[in-house]
Amino acid sequence: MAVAQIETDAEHSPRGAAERPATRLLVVEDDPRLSQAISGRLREDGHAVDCVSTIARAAAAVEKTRYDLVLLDLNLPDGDAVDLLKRWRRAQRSLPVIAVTARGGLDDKVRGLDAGADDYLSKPFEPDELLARVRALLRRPGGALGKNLTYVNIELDTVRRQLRIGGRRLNMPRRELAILELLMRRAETVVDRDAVMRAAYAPDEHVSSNVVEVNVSRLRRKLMEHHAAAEVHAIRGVGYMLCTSP
Amino acid sequence: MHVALKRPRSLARGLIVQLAAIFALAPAIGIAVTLYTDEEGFKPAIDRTLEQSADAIVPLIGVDATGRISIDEKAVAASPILSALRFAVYDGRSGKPAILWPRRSAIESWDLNFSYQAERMGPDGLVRIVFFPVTYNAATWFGWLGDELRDEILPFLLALMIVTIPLATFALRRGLRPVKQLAGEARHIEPGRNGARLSEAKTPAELLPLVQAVNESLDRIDRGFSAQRQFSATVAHELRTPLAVLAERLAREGAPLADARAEILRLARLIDQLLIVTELASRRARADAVVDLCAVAREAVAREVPRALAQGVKMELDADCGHVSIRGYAPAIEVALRNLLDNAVRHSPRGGRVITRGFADPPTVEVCDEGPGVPPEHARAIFEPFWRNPRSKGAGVGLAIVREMAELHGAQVSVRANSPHGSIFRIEFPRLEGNGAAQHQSAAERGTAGCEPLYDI
Repeated sequence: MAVAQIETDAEHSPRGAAERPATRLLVVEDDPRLSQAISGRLREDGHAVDCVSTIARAAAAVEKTRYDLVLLDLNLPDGDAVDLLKRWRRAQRSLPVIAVTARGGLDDKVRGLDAGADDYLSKPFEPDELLARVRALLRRPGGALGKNLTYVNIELDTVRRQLRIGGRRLNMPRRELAILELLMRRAETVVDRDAVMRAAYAPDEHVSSNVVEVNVSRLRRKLMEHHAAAEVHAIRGVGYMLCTSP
Repeated sequence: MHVALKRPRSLARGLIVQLAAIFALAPAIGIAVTLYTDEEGFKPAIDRTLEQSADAIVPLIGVDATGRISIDEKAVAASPILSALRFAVYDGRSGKPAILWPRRSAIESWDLNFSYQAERMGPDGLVRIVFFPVTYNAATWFGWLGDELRDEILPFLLALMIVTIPLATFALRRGLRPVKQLAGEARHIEPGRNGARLSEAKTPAELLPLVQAVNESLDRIDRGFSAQRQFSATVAHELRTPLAVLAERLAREGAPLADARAEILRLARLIDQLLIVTELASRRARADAVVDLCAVAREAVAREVPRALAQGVKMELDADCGHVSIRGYAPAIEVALRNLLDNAVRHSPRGGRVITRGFADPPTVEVCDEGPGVPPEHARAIFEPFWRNPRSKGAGVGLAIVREMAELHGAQVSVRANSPHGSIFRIEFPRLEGNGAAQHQSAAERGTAGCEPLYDI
């Protein structure tokens, strides 16, 4: 698998790392060695990280501090973390949560996602995968990194609708930009065709059936012409994916 | 805490109680039946009562100086049996009724046709006692019944009971002796000591089905046990190999850590797969939810695309069937499909294509690759746990998971050659009941001509 060469917003931000929006993460993990390893990797990646080891402390920490993301181990010594997750969802916290399952069982994943986890990781996981999933969640609209998107040498300011490839400004039609934004938010995962359609067109717009293909192929050509280090892959029958060029 | 142990029900005690109940009920029922159905049987009994009553009356008869016959009325009234009767005592000499009971009865109204006569020697010569039909009260009835029980039935019953109950208990004990022997045999059956069974030779016919069923279940458990033992042995071996490689790599100074990490990840993936295969094999997972097969296929393909692209393999999903409902357990189907896709990618040449196809009727998924294909002689073996192509790097658990998933769903897995080369793995699920007409062409019609099925498992 290609090792993701994703950089955080801050490192590519023209204003420099010192002013980057601080992301604060909570790691809920009872194994001290794993907790240390995870938080170390996340700090290297530029996040501020707090660690707790019990459900009670996790609940208290979330009450007190506004976290941008929680990494929640589902097997904790003082109870079932799925219940905690359900409590947060009932309280309508939009807090992004990645469930970490240890049992490798099929049900854990389902239980975690059903309870409202945004994503899941099964132990043991590749550190790169952990970082990629954390970034992907933070890049969601409304997420801590959701405003200025960066993928390799592509930068997109989603508020001002400004696109830079390799540092150079580039104008792009509205619909292509919308598709690029969606693909960047979910970089390295497959985005299904319907989602791409919804990103570019209003539900009541009457368009011919191949508009998505047309727009994506234009976008792909432009990325290539401007030497973007990423390309858009079309996976027939499934959707599209933005990933680094080989 | 005091735990009251419930004693198991004793067969012998139950038998004795039941026999005693039969002995107690039998005479009562018999008598009742006789009374209601057989008046003729009852009559002699009544006659005997009347004869006895006549015997009782005689000592009460007295004769005064004038030769008049009288009766001790107080004694008659005191006797519950006699007082309930209607009788007349005739003077043997004059032939006229001398006493009437009850007193002052109108003898003319008595119907002589329904009478019973007994002749006795009174204190002053012959008297004739004539009884008339009477309404028997409970006292006469029970009196008679008591006599009957005491004299006729009870001695016989007691004798029967004394013989029957010990005999029955003995027969029961004797009959249950094989059970005791079987219990002794069962005590010596242990895991690992395969082949030990309850002996069927001396088992009575009534117990044979139970013994056979137990032996068959022991066969199944033995098979499962040895499969499990072989499985754990192989697992231990499979886990030890990467660990040895790892230890060796780490021992060498300056060795690239990336290699070591790859080994660890392989190990982790193997453990995950093993957990999944045991979970599926244990049948704890319930495959009964309605699942959209196309959606699962789409998800599986989407998840495998990044890995495929990294290896320069293109993936396609050819399943414009929209929605195909089956009954199943989506996480298991997804894992199985991802294993098929992962295999296909690993065996694909750079620039090759892996096409996933979905069909509505019967609900089917196919994964087609352009790799070297499966040699026919391996077509069955590849689905065995830990079977491994010498040229392949996989641990050999992926397809075993596919097979377990298929068994859980009652699905058919088959593999055949792709044209011009490569293989097509096909999983055909049972149709969802009530899923009427096929919305799309069946798999057979969709043109797999030239691809002869190699093997069904």
